[in-house]
Amino acid sequence: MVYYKYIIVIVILLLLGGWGVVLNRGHFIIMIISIELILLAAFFLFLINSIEIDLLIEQVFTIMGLTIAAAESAIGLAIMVAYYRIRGTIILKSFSSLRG
Amino acid sequence: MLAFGVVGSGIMVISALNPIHSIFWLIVVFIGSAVFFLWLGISFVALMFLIIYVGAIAILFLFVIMLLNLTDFPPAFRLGGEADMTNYIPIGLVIGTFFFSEVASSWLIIGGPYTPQGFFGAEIGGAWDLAIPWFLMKYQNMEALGRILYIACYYLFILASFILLVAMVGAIVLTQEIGSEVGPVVKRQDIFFQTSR
Repeated sequence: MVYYKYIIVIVILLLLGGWGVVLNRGHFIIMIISIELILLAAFFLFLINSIEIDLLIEQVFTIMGLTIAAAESAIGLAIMVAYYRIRGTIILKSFSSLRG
Repeated sequence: MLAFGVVGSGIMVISALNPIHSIFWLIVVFIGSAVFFLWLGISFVALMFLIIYVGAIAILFLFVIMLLNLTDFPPAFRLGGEADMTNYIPIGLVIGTFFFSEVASSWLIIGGPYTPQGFFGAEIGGAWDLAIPWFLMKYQNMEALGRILYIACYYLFILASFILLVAMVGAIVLTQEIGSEVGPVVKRQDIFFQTSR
């Protein structure tokens, strides 16, 4: 059945995103990119289920989630730029100094 | 075929040496997903993915990387010494056991994946009145989505616009020059003073 093939692709994408976060610890940009990959897998899951059960409300939910994802990545990059301006590097081991 | 393209590009995203290559592979992943969505008939979300992710977020990542000059920074797992992951074993074991038990229970107890007969059967289908079946409507996907987004969900639409406004203001405030534009006194947290009173 085609639906479960899509589910397999989605689960592989989601595991790749989580694995990227674990594997690239200390590299802030690739961690944000992996979070984008996880969000892509989540939206993919919503849309496949929207096709499967004929609900349009899930596509509205996907658009709202897309808004949240864009805002989240923009604020994450802004935090990174501010941190780089203070510290001069973005090595993630010294992020505990973010508490002020 | 397209699925293999998407998954392979996802592998290349997390294993690329250079963050710029990683971002290019991310663009490939998003374009592949958009082609998937177009092929499934979800045209509006596919175009939104193309515009927002490929057009805005990937360019934002590229600008930040080129602005901060981060390309000479090897990933942690290639440094050799920092790849010590043995202290992640307990939490990984717990999460892995949880997911494996979920999958195994769905296979053993429920009896394999759910195979729908029609849409939830004929007798349950009447209970889903809040669902608007959009294949039954004689609209394109974009038209139906516009109707449901501007008529039924206008409150969510206004809420999303406020979230974007807050994100924009937050990003501008965060990237200001601290101390010159924000104010003469930057509020700092004196932890010793707080904990000793």
